[in-house]
Amino acid sequence: MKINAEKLLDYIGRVGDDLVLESETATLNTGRSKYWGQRWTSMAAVFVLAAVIAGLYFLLPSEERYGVGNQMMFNDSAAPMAAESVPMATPVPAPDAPPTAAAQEDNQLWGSNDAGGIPIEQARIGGGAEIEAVPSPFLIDTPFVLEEGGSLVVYGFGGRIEFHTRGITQAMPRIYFEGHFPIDQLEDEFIHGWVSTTRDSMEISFVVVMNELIMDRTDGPLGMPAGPIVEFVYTEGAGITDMTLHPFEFIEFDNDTTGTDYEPLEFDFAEENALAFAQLIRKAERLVDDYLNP
Amino acid sequence: MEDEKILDLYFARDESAIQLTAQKYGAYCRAIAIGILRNREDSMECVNDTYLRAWEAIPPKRPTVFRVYLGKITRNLSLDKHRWLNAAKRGGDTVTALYGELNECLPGTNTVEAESEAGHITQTIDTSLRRMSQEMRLVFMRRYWHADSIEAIAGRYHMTEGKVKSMLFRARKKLKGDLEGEGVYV
Repeated sequence: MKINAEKLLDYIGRVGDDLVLESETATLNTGRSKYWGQRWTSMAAVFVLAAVIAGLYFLLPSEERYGVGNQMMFNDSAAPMAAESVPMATPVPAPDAPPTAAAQEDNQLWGSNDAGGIPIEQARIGGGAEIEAVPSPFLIDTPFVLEEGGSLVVYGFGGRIEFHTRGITQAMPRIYFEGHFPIDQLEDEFIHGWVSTTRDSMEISFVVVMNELIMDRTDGPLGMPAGPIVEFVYTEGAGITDMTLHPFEFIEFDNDTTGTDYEPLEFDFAEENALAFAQLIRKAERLVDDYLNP
Repeated sequence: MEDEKILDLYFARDESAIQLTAQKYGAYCRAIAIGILRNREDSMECVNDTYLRAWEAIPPKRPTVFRVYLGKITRNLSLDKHRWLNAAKRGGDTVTALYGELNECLPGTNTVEAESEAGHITQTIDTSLRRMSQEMRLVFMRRYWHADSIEAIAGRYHMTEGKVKSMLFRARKKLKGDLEGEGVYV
């Protein structure tokens, strides 16, 4: 039997009364209000701390201000923490400039740091995106630095994620797909971004995960990619270079959102999808360019 | 006034039942109609027709959930009105009238078989919706029952519009799979 969308709309109108009532009365506990409330509380604490630190910071002799001895590390478990690294002993300085108007917008957070490697002076995250560093839980409104070899995992829906380093500004704008993407329809794709720093550049790896794979489970994500799918290096002046497309291996969570209990799952990454990813990266590149050069 | 008392007035053929219905559920019905038609005058017409339909159907019908019963009538009338308006734009009143007249000749309309098929499809949709997570189901119902905009749904449930779109996409895919499993193709 074949019906058209018009009839389908009629049939939807006939569903049970309880479903209609539910849709009129039920509220969803998305946790967002509480979540943001907690975040804003944390953020206020960071601002106060930053103000105190700023006062102390400018009392220091100038040569001490740019010392590299004080470092705070957030290292990927796959990239062991350097032996010489020590936990940060001195509080971090305040950012050079006050947060921009954009940073003060609702749902946006920022943090600052200045210690070693290529410090990330501000990181801001907007919309519904969340940020987490491995291996320890991490809040973006905590000042932080990524040292060489360190990594930061960013994940989430919505928003725009920005990293401002001393010499480089990196932006990972939201990338929307309008149904042209052949791997299903990535309207609200799940983006994992790996960010790692070297001495003279920042490297960002985008991982775009298919919605159907990662979210099609009510009790949590289905899994995550075993590694980056697309990597590129951004260097100031040269833009995005060295794009690399990787074979896609998918790690399926075994009903466990922590990812501690999983089995690798080979995923058929067809050639045409690889081409689509290349298109995606070109689009990402344009978005980044547009963002950096409005 | 409680719904049961209003329904009693319908059964007693007391016309104040319509006035009380309008007082209690007028805004609710208007919201549904405006959601679909986006036009105040057309919506008011559908809401008034809703009262008339209810008056004609009760008795013998005694709805279990009066509010939803009225909502469903309003929704159906609004969708019909929307189709009529679109058809009128496309082909003019004459052609629309021809469609309407010829539609009565089509086999299967209002037959027991057609009703049985409709019941089967509705049941499949109903079951599919109940299998979805509550979050997905609510988003789906707000979009396809209430005709809410993506923006309105996102605001209602504190989600991003992207997330709403994504959930709708997955919900449609699930529903499509369930319908096809029952031999129904859209």
